[in-house]
Amino acid sequence: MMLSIVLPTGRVFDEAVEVLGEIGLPTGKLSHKGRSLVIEDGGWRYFLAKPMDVPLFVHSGIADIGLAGSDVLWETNATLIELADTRRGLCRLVVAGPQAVAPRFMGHESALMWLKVATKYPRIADSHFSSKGVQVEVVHLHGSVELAPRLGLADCILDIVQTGATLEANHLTVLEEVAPVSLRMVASRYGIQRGWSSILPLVEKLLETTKERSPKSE
Amino acid sequence: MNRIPKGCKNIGAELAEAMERCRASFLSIFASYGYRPFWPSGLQLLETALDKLSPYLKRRIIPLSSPHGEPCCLRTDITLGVVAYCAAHHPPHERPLRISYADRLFRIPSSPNYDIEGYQLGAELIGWEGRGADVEIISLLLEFLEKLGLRGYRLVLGDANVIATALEGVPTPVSEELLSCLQGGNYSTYYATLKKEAIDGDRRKLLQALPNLKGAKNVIDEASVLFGSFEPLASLKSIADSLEELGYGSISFFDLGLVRELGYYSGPVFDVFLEGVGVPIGGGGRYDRLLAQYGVLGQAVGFALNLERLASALSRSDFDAVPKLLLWCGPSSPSDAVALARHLVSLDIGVEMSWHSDASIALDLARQRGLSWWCDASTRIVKSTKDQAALSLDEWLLEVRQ
Repeated sequence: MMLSIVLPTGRVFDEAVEVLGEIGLPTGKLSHKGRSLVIEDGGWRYFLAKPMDVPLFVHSGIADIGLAGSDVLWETNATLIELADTRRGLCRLVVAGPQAVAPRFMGHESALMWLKVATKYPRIADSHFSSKGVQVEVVHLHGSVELAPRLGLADCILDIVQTGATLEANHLTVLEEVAPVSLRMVASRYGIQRGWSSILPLVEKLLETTKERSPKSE
Repeated sequence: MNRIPKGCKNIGAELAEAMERCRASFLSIFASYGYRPFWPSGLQLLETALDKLSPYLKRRIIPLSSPHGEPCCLRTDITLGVVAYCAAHHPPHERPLRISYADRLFRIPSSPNYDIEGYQLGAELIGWEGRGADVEIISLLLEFLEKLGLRGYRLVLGDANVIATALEGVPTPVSEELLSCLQGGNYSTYYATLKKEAIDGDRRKLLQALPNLKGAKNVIDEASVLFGSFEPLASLKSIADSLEELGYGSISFFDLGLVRELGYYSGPVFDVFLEGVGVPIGGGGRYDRLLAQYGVLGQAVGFALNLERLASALSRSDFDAVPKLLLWCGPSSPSDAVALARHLVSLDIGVEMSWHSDASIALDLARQRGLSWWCDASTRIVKSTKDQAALSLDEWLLEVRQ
């Protein structure tokens, strides 16, 4: 039985491939993928997809397993089984904005009412501010979110931040932490029923390697 | 273009045919075993829905006001109507009650889906405490899937009591969090919670192993070793043995970490999967709380299937099994043509009549419909729509009815 795995392209692709290598899956062809989006290697079929589309590929049953950021999983809200946290692709979801907006985040939550928030994550933004009882105006952008406050399109942004360099370059500071983000191994409900005997050893191996990598947190 | 509201569908053509075939087959099979059809009300009182639906379904209610000014919602759940009806119309001595249904549901879409309306097939066996109810309803479900000619489907069984037994002695907030993780499919948080909470050694070992016990019937034996007894697994084991004896062993699988709708199910539960579809097309199990809310003592077993997903999985050949032809009635008298059509239908031949005066147009219509055969009602000559090979109606009937 050939199992299929969908991997995110872009920023976390290399780390996703490293995770596969660590848990003993063949990665030779992934390292030389060229423009291929479907790669078969040693009895496994890999699909490459935009990070935001990975959960949908798994949810629909196209792929049995996937590696997706916890930000993307939260945003898409697909019905999936989250098998393990790889502790790779680490970053944070934050609200960031110009220093001038900072006082609104320091006082009563009513000061946040009708804030304009630019984001690639409209669902998370809505959920985050709704949980405070705050109504905001969400501006859904598909990229270059950091530009929005500078150009007057929004008061602040909700986005992922890794080193903070992009925020700094755009004169933005972190106003609020929303959630830590990491790469998660997920499976479809069908996938775990069909291929559990193959999937379980991968999860166990992954838990073992993450434990080895971060002994202090254990 | 004529738009319809986002999240709604007008379903026609092949999918509609397949859905109708599934619906008719389902109700017919269940009727043969004493399940009476039920047509639920399209609106439900909001107070009833809010009081009795699970938190998950409550969030998906589509409220409206009836023309009589009553706060209502579009039908969110059919079981609610079934139980309410049975409680109000059937005294205890008439139980057990067997009900089947096929109808629409309306729910706020759950991402990544956009649909606000869906079609459900379902059955409920209400008010039988003894053994047999689970096996009866599951085997009928499998008989239905088998008769549809589907391939690659599987039944995955678990048991709410198995998990409840494993969680005995675990403080309530922790056990609720663990159950919530299993229901939401969040294994990484489940294991993280187990790791950080103070749970005694054997119980921790059991709880760690439970979600990993997925597969064929032998996982029940493995679980019994961890429990140190077969007792918590007795219901599941009995169902597994019965399904095997009925010839369903190869499509029955077990998942001891399976949790469906927290607080609703009280015993064995199951999901139904189709090959290559990531989420279950339906499922069900044994429940008691809803009955108690309506003042009915005892338990019920039921399930529901997504009719559209099920029908989408049927291949064209699955529902082309009945031979069909286009009957050209142009040169015939209407009464003769209708009488011939009735005769063919009585022989289980599907017939579409064409009243056009031009034979070639009728033949084109047959091709357009994807029908392989065309018959002139006046001469009773049947022709293939592909190569025009001709034979008499009697010869053709002999051929297709062999």
